[in-house]
Amino acid sequence: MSTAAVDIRPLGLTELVDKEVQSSMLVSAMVRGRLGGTLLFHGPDGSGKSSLALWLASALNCAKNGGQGAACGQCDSCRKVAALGHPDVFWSFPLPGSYYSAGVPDEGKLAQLYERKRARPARAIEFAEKAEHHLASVKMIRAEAGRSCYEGRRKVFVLTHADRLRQEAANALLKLLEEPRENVAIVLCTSRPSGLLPTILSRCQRLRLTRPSPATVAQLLTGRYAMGESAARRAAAVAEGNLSVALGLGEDGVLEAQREWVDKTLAALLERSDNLILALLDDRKGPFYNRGDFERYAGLLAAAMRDVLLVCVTGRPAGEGRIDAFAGQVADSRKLIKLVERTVNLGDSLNRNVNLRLLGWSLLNEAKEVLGEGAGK
Amino acid sequence: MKISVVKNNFLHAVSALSPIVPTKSTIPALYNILLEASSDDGGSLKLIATDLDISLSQKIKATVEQEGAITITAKKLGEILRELPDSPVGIEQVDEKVKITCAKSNFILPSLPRSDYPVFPTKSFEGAFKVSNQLLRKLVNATSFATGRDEERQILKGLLWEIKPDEMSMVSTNGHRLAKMSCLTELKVDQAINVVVPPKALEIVEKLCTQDGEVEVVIDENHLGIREGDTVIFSRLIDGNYPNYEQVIPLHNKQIAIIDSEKMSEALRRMLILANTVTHRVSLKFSENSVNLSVRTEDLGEGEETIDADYQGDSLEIYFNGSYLIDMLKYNESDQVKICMQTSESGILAVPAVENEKQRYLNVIMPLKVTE
Repeated sequence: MSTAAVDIRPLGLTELVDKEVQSSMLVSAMVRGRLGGTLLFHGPDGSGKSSLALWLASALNCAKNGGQGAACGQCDSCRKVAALGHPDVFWSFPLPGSYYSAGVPDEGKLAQLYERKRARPARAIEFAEKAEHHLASVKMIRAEAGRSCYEGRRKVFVLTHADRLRQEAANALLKLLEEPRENVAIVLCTSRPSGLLPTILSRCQRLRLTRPSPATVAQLLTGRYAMGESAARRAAAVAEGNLSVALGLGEDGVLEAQREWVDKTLAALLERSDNLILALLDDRKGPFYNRGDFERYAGLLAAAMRDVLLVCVTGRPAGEGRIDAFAGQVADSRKLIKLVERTVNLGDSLNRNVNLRLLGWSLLNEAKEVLGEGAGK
Repeated sequence: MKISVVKNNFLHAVSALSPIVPTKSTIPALYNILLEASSDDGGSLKLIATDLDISLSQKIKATVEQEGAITITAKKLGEILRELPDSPVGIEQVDEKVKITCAKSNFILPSLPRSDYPVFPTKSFEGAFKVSNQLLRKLVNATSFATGRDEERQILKGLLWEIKPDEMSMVSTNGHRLAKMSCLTELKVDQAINVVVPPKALEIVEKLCTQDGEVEVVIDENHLGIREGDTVIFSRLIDGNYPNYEQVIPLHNKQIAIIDSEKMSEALRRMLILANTVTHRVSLKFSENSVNLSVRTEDLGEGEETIDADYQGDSLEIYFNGSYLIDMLKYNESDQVKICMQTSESGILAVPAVENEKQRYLNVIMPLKVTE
């Protein structure tokens, strides 16, 4: 008996998941000539903002649709956009200061990042240091915007994490937006529109995106990434539909390792032991030395705290020892709600130049305060 | 694709293309040269390189067994060709790689598909107008030094090329100085054309088209194309409106000095030794039949020199960036330069003292404002 081969074909950079509404809105705007020169795609991390932006770049330059419809995905132009190799499509993302030399982005280091993105399109690029859009990057965009198209119809600039524009970079970008050019489209992608200058926001056509459902992501993980079904379901649920995070969790042992750290955290909190907490923070193998690990750990901790809250509210045990024990010792539910909120929104703090161990220390102390005095005694 | 080419022709073409190939790029295909083999015209190989601003193609003769197109890493191809003996070079596509053979040497290089390579501009040269190589070189030389370097003002980084049926001009400015050269020549254009071209493109034309003759020029809304024989260069144009430079050319100048270009240039070079390394500030004091050049920089010292000048106007002291004056004098073909001034705070107009009917050259230099 023959078995059907699994189609292990990772999601491409311009492939869309659950974006039928948004893509048809964009096509309709293109056809009616109503597509603005500056667009803002906003929505939570993992909602497919960059993919939709690059898809739009494909559509605007597609050799088959004449710039009046959806991208065919097959022509040379569409293939080049999907491989980040189109001469008229520019992808800009926040970079740490070390990626700039003599005031301009180091093309060699950038080329390596592009290579990584091409190899793993659905995975976010993570840096150990704080990453921002510097003035030099925006100057390059302005310079490029002043040149004519090479082979396409419209130059498209995609800025991911646009909320991470430094003040001077944002002002420089504003100048570009103030003088729109017919053959230039700028797509700003952000999960935090409030982080952009109001003068930039007022010049954007906005489009809101949502994450695909965990079930859809789980399906992708099993189909396109050949992940085991239960692992895919678990990773998609924990990642709440964020494919990039789910893929990170789905890697061999990552989910288990981070779960172990959350377990250790709960144990230390239940003991109310500062020494145990400090030992966790000092452990170099732990999540407090790498932003990506911390993000995944925080996601799992947030999920654990939500479970605790559920147990507290419904009074029904979760069937997981540490969760139930934690719930049993919660002294102040309001503090627990605040803690859940904080863990869920930890991404904002991580975007800043924060010391991960200090952030961890403050977070775990807040968690400790949720428990009554008697805990651990 | 399967072809054979003369080694030296191939090496010559690859060497001509190499300066265009970027050393670092986020688009991997740009590290490569595109080779297109065609059986037309008795067999030819077209080599293409681009850095997206400038695209260059060269055509050489080839014995074509099988037509096709491939891309090869320019750097390694050049290095290999330089070391090969003087024998025919065979190029063959083998799956996704390229096999290069010469005498008893065999190399296999990685390749990228042609579809990954940026599309070479396909503007036809039908209806192109012809320009003398020598004239083009002269215009570029005399003006490109004054282009701006400021990333904020992209338009000033280019050369404004004004083409009329009976005249051709090039203009450049960085906001502090302006250079313009116009030459009377007959061009087959129906109407006036104004384009802003990156100087790098014209400098490459200058290097490649060294022989006296003519190049064909074609312009569309995005590109400038130049062809000389089997060499074709396309450059992207700089978008935007070039500033109305004519309004900064001072017309009613009462004070006029005529100075020996060489003597002035030598004196300026001596003054610049002690000038501020950022502003290059030099003072020029015009008085009857002389100009006194002086420089004073704290920590470095001071110097002064007087040179003869044909000047009958009022005494006038103007501060300049001395290196701007030297650049202006370098391309002033006449032995003497005519400097036309109004006040110490307005820009000066510098033209050759002896006018040439067929060629007009002018420089406008703004003075430095001194706050002491």
